[in-house]
Amino acid sequence: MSTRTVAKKKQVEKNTHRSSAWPHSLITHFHGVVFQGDLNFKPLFFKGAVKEITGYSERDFVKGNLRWDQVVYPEDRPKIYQAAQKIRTICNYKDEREYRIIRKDGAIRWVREFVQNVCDEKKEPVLVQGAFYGITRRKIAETRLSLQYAIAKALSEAKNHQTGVMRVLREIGTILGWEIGMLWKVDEEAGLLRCDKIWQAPTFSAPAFITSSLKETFARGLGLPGRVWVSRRPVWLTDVTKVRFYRRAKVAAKEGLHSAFAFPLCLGDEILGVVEFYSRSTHLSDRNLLKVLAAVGSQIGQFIERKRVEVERERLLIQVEKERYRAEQLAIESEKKASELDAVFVAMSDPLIVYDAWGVTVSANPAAVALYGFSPVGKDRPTLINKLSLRFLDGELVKAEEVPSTQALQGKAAASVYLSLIDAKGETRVVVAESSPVISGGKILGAVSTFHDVSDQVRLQKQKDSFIGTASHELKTPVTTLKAYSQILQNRFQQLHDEEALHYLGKMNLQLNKITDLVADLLDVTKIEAGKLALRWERFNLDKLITEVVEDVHHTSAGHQIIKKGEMAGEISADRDRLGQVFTNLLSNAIKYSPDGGKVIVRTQKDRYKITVSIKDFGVGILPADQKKVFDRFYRGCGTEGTRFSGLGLGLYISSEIIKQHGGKIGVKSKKGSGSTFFFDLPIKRGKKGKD
Amino acid sequence: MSKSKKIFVVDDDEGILEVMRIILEDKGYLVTTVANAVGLEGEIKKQLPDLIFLDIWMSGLDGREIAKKLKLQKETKGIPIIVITALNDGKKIADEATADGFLAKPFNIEDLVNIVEGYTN
Repeated sequence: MSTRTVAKKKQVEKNTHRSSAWPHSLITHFHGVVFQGDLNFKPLFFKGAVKEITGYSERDFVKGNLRWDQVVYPEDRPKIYQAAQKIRTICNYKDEREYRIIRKDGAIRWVREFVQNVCDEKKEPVLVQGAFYGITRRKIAETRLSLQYAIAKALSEAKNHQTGVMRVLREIGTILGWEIGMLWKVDEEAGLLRCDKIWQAPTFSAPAFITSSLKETFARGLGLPGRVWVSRRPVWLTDVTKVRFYRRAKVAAKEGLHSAFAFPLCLGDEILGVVEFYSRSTHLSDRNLLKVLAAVGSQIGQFIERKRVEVERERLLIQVEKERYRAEQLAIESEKKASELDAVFVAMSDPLIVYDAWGVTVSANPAAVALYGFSPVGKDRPTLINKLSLRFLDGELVKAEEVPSTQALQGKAAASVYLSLIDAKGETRVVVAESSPVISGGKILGAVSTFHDVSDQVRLQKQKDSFIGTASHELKTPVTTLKAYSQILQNRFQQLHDEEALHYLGKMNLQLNKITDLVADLLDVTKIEAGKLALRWERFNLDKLITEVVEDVHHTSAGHQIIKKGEMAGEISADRDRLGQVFTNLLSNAIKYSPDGGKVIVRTQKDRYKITVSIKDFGVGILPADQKKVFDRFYRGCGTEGTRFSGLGLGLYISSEIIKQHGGKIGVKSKKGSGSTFFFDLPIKRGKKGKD
Repeated sequence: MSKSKKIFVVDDDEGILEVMRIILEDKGYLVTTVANAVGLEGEIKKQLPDLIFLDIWMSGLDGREIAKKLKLQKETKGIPIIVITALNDGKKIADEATADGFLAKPFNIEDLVNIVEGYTN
């Protein structure tokens, strides 16, 4: 032993002695250990809760060979050694630190230590003294807290569970200082765990291990993830390269990985996946950490579930939002349409009224308000009908059930009706009243009524009627006089036996008759157009009428042979004069359009429902295209070489209108150059007397 | 055939009045032609004709109204009234006027004579 060493030893003893002077109460009440030792971790004095914290006795350290640095957790030793360098060289150097120790039973404990050196007169460090106490519980709490905080933060900031889980792997890896983290997801269909996500510390890379992990799948109970899946508990493997069931041991060894832990991601009883971590170092199993990780596992599980719910909720929200947007667009559109409609509604010059299903007015345009002199909204229909004194054009009062809106509210699309009414100004107006039901989903929601003012048209129509009446009167009166004089003259010349004069007078009469017929035709057209062609129904013998007309017409054209065929029609109900007019017209046409003479065949046929009369000629015929037009007003037939036929072209139009009024049909079959067959039929009214 | 039958012809057209007079006087009737309906009623009541021809379309006057009025009065309601019309619905017009018959313009002398004989015998 050198002098220096001896001196040092003396010094230590002196110090030891000094230390024993520490207040006893401090040592007994301090729940830790106070110590003195040499500069190489050999404890010289150890007092306090040595046994509780380390599992070793004071003797093990002071009398035995146990050095303090031997119980320090291997990972934490470097920082202890680093500080020791300074403690040995710098006088009054102090250090305060936290680190792990391995208890005698192998458990890991955290301690907090205050240490400083004691120097000699030369200010050279000779001893170390200090105190430490257990902080394991706090450390666990801190790790748990910081892990949970970091994980909670990561998860709360994550947009979806994919990025959330990725961040969690990073946080765990960073806080614990482990190099690789993996998420194994349960593939329920296959009943396997598959590697879904991998995190690696930025300073580390283990491509072979990652490739092999990505290729692997684990069934229940197999490998590390499979075991965790079944046990539902965290598992710690101090060194995977030495575990038999560990399947990736070779590649792990190649990449220098040793320790591993894995914990399940739980949601209640359900396991959503397994998280695995790997470290290059060999970490002894840390039960406390495993507890924290178990809690983290269910935290992540809940997060995944919550995100799943959130995603679903978001999807629903988006859907709801989309629906809302669509509804809004529809509303905007319908509002736009409504405002367009509203503008039309307001601008309409015809009064328009909307009734609800009960016949109460819900809406009326300004024209309608002007019509009544007040707003009809809220009023019921009887009030409104009374107000207008609605009448039919023949002067008869309109009953409530005859008003178009009544019929519309019963669901019938009422035909337009001509009505006269007295407006708010007391003026009589003629209107076309129209009403349509508003039906939706088979339900009558109301009705829309309009009154189209036709007073002017009616007035014009009346003027026209009056003009035609006047014209016909004015035309017929001189003809009458002329005819009368010609007849007077005929009588005179007859007495004088002047045959030549009689012949001329006969011709004059014929021309006068033509004028009469033309005027009569014009009058008829006017009536048809005014809807005033009224029939005078009577019972008469049709055969007799036909015979009469044939005789009359034959009189004017001896060059034709008129043959009557078919059966006897017998008595019918019709307007005898009008029917005579039709028949005369058809027969005259047959003669007129067969200018070369020849046969005209009149045929009568009868069945249970109708009588058909046809007139067949063998004249010029009608082109197919013209056959449809012959019954049009003012249509006139042409001869083969464009020969013009006289007349106003009203005869067939009037005839067809007369037959229509009788409820019958009129038509033609023809071949250009071979003649035409005109026919009409009349329904036989069974058991019903003709009216008027 | 009684030669003393009195016939009134009311029409605003001189031509018609004249031709009617010629035809009817030729047949031996006493014909009074009236071109203006003013004072017509009084004249009819005074003369009490056996038959009246009445134009329904006279300037400013509706023959139908005159006929109706005559038919409503005790002294004149028995006198047959024949309306003269240029319209095609003679019968309808006659009905409206509560007249006994109609004569459609233009007419044949024969028709006219038949009507007169029918109503005066």
